[in-house]
Amino acid sequence: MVLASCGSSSKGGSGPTKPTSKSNATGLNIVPNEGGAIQGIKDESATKPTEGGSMTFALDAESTGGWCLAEAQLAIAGIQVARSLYDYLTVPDDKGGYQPDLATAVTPNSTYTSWTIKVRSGITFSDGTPLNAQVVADNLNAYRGKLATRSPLLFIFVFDDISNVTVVDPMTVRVDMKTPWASFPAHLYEYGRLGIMGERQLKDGKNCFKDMVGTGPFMFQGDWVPNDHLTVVKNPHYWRKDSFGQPLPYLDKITFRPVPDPTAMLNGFNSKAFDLGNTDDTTTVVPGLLPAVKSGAINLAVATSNPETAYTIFNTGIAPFNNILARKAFATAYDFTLYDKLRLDSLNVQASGPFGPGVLGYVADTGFPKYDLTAAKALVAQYKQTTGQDLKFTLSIPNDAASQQSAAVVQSMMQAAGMTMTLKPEEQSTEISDVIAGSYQAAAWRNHPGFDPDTQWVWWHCTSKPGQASAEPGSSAPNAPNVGPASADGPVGNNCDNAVNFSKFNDPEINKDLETGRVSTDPTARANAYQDLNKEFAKEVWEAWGYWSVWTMPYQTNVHGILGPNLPTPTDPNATTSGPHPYTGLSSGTDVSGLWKSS
Amino acid sequence: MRAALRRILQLAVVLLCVSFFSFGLLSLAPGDPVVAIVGFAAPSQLKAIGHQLHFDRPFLVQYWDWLTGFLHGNLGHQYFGPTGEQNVSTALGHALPVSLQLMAYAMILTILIAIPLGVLAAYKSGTVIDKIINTTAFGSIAMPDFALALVLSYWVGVKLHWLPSQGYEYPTHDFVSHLQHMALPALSLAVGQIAGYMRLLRSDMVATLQEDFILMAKAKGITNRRILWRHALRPSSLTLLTVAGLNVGALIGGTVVIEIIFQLPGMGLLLYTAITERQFVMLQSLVAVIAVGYVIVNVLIDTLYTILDPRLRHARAIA
Repeated sequence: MVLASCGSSSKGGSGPTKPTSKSNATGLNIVPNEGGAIQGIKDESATKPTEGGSMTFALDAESTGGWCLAEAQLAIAGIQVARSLYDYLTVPDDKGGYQPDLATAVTPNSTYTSWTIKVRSGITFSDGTPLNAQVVADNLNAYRGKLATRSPLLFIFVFDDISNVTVVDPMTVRVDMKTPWASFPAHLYEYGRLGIMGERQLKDGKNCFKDMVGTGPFMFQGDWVPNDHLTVVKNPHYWRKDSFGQPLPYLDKITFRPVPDPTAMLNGFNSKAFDLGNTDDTTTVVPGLLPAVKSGAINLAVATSNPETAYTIFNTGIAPFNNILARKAFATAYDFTLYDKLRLDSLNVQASGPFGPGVLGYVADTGFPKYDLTAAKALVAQYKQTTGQDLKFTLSIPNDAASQQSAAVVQSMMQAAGMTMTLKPEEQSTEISDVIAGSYQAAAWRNHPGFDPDTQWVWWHCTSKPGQASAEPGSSAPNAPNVGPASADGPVGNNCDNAVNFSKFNDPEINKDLETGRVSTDPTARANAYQDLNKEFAKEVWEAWGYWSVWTMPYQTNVHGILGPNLPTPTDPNATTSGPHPYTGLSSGTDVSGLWKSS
Repeated sequence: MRAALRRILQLAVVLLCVSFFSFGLLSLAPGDPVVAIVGFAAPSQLKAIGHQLHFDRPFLVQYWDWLTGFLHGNLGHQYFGPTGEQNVSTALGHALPVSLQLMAYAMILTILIAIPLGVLAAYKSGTVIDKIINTTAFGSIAMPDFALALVLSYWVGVKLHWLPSQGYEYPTHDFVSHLQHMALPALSLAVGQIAGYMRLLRSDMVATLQEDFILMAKAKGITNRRILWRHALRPSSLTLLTVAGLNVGALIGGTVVIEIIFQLPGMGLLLYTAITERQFVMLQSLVAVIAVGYVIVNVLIDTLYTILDPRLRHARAIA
């Protein structure tokens, strides 16, 4: 999860509109759609890759916490580096499923309360130690906070439903659950954050963040200067080969360079300082590269599905957004078409919910309020009539210029509807700590990358009883209870006991849908549950959905193998032409083992 | 000996003042350092980590801890997530050489260009050449170094592909590539300095060329070149030297912006990231190291005065 880098990702409404292809001057289709594909990549499966060489990979940020994966909270830049050094027990495929990777099988019992993981044999870590059940069990225990040397934060909440991890035999691990958990294999990837570390790294107290030991296609040999570069070198003992029988990876070296300044990234690609990179910047980088893309001077891979969602997060625990009238007024006052034109070069599409095209639970029309200035004004008046207060609030935003400019556009929209929105530009860490502490009313936010919706459980699920008012942070006086319409399953509330449900809503319908999605193995039942959840979000307007953030990968014309080779199967670790195809979203980076460079 | 002691005392006072005030300012800065270090967590987890890293201690206790550590050569720690830490000296070891190289190249460029131009302008005082040099200098001083850096980066780096627009290469790895990567940053930093130094030298030289000893030299039939470079330049360089010492601060300030624009992993970029990442201990140590460096450079320049101007040496000897 990260803050919306382009400022307020507030919301208006074009809910019923199915995302349509939106082409720019290049004719390149750059918006998410349901095709589940990736654009800008040629089929090179028949071309035998060239071995050797090196590449410079531009990242949109530095991973300031390093790569002690159990503790790190990696964004895409960090995940991209992690994917070069580590492998996972499971990996996502292009069909929305998960394929075994370091595991050869991940099998549930009949009630889904226990999962057995068979570990692939013959694999060694970069320090020469073997991969076995013990190291896998230690990793899982590290992630869930049960390994003495590690102090995970968010993963404790993610894996709260695991009761026990047991080594059954040298290559088998059993994971017992507190409740049935049918979608557990998705969590063994966890957006690319759940890499399997070697014992040396796991148990290295203060150096775990920089002593990276994995089984991945590349190895770390100590060359990391934070905020400048991190270099990885070819793992000569990597366990996979390509469909031609050539050992993977092809490159000798990759240098990752963090380039947080969009202009510097754009210049780097245009001057060919970077071979490839990751960016979702549709304000500077992507628009700036489009002329070069059009002329064929550079390529641009665009993930046309499984996007991340930019939105305005509401604190429903306090006024005014503990009142649905205020939330609806915000949503209906927001004119996304204008916002997109003014701030996003008309390159983005309005989000209808937390799940973008290609994600289970995606609904084109969730019923989310549409832009309607007259309705917004009426809601503002109704709010005043009900509460006796003018509708005033503060929007917390990052204090960079782009965010402030974006927020000013939203501010004028709210003003037009009769609301008073005060901007609170602040350091990103301050904004995050305010949201964590509940000391905010609304904030620019971005989260929910397109993977299995069960991975979002941690942000929304509550176990406490809904329908009761919560107290203002730092005050003994209770807030007014949520005055919105009750859910079919009972009254909604704002007393969630989940410490990382930053919006604080407690909606029995959402709780029930999340539980169904976690327990059920029936794809239709799961899809229905998450679609219901999506609609419930829209009905209660728990958040103001903004737009789907488009992840792209610019790459020079001599760079090939962007998506990586086909995935392994339980019986064959190597890539085969008939093997499962890799995931086509770019919100968790890409498999770098298949990258190669033509002369 | 007394002079050395005086300098050490001066250094201690400067260090104490600078570090105390910067520590005070940082403690007032918005942003929770724990959140900046660990990211998302439950409030109780953040509180526990803040306690573990001593961020919940009173201001004066934190300052005293840092100061006593610094005086013992311990620059404190840079934090990576809830358990990772690394001594600040490691980051400093990477960044300081880059900034020193950048400043050195900028100074070399400045001296190589400013001195001949200043001497020429003084020699041709009042002529068209003097006016052209002066007007160019005015323009250069008026242009902020970051604006020039952006223009150079875009045109020379991105459009013309003549030199790298960003990044750094270690001199030990590929010296030619290193010089190519440092050329635009050094030039961006140097242009303003060149103009300033040149104008300063010109006015000093013009005054020196009016002195009796210059007239005497001319009467002796010494060539103009020798008079300019041997007799006039040396006494005219004292102001230049003073300004060079004082300019170290401006140069350090300039490197912060230039290093960010050209993505050079030096002290400037490190300071910037320490601020944005709320690495207060690291920031404090970096500020202190810069303050110490600034004082040392100015002590060295004071020493150079006596070498350049025999009158000062004699005056001190008599005193």
